[in-house]
Amino acid sequence: MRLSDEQLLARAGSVLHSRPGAPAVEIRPESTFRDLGLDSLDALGLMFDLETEFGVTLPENEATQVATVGQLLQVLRIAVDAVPSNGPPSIPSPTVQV
Amino acid sequence: MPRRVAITGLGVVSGAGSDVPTFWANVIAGSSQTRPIAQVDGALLGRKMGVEVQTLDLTSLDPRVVTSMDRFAQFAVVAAAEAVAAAGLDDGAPWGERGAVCTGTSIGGQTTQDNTFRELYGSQRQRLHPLTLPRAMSSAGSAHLSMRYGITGPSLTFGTACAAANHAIGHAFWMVRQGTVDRAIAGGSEAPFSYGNLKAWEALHALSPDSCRPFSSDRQGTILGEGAAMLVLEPLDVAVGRGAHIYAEVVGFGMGSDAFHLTQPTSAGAARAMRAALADAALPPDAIGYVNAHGTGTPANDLSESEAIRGVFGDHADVLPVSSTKAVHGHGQGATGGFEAVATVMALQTGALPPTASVTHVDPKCRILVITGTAVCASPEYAVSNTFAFGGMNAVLAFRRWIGA
Repeated sequence: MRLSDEQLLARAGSVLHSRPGAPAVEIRPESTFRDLGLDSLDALGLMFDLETEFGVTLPENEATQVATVGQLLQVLRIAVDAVPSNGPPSIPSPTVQV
Repeated sequence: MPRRVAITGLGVVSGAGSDVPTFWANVIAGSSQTRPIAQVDGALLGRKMGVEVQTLDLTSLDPRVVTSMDRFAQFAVVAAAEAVAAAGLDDGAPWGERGAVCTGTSIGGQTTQDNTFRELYGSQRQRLHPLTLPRAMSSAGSAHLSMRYGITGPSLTFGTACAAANHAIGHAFWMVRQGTVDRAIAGGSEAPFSYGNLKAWEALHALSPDSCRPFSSDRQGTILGEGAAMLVLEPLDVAVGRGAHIYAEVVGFGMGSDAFHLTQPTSAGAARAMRAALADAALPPDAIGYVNAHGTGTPANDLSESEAIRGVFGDHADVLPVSSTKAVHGHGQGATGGFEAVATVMALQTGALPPTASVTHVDPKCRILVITGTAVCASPEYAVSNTFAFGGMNAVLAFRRWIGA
């Protein structure tokens, strides 16, 4: 079932808030990464975490260009909608231990 | 004119204790902290024993910084925090360009590599976390310490395997002695308990199935240990002038290489490094009253090292107490020189020489005076601490008990 924009924002926001040291601020589409205390490396880490959460691969060129939550949601929307309805392949947690 | 160099801070994170008092209590009691390895599924391992850190308090660190670090760098930062606090230098003032940090590690952030590359090679994922490289790089320990303490002078990392910490401490010592810097953090850190690294060690057939028994007739190999140990070094006159507690002095550093074999040690190479340390300290062999041996518990090292000690000290070796503390804290590889520097300094300060734990019977082919059983009360003025690495890289430190200026 297709995620609504609100569901997408809620899940992406949850990933953002779960990052260590994330500021306890409301996440809105117009929020910039700078507002959220993210430098360029943090933003790349956020992309990685979102890929894990949604089971998608974000296009690298576009992912490095985004600067606001709204732009991020657009990129995420395209990637999520492209996933077959039977769901994405399972991606294991990056911290899993053997 | 060369300056005398004081140790004003010590810090340890190890499987034998995550602070200096706990570490030293286990070392002096000869209480081996070897346990079944918990970080990797034991069913996958042929050699299942290790000395793992039980307590790692990261609460004083920025959580964003913590997640940017591999385990080996976290160890380095936590151990340094204890050392800097002990030195009374944790006031937040940047150390600036007259400060230095020298760390040692054998494998750096291999835990990060092991976890992330497994996904990549398994084709489960085509992209790695962007912090993979900064977490994995061997210089991450010194980099994080330079940022934490505002050290804009030299920030160096030594990758000389099991001699790395002694190379780091030795070079920091030289920089302080010759006036290149006025203050240094030096030591080593290691996080060896990743699946790939443990299997690599197994392939070498260098690990013991049960315990590390240095110089014992029935020794079967070493036991790995993780953690970090850091020292704060500064000119003796500065330390005295500001009323700092002085644990001991560093008085000599010697190094060399076997130029012989990747894994097989030579007694000649070990002896050269010990002689170089004595020469650097301008000490005759009979001035030394304690040797903290590399003593890995492998058949090859312990025989070679005991021959080297006999060669350097001659008849003095008959009365020269030697012990290896690795049976307690494990072989920390790039951290081990740091563990053993702390043990040696504490031995000089307290007048108690630690025993070699787990020895059943000293190998008669090791013709040295191995301390076994319980600690020995003695107050030597000088001690040396040996580290010898794969690749034939040897590094030895000489310390002096603090008995006043």
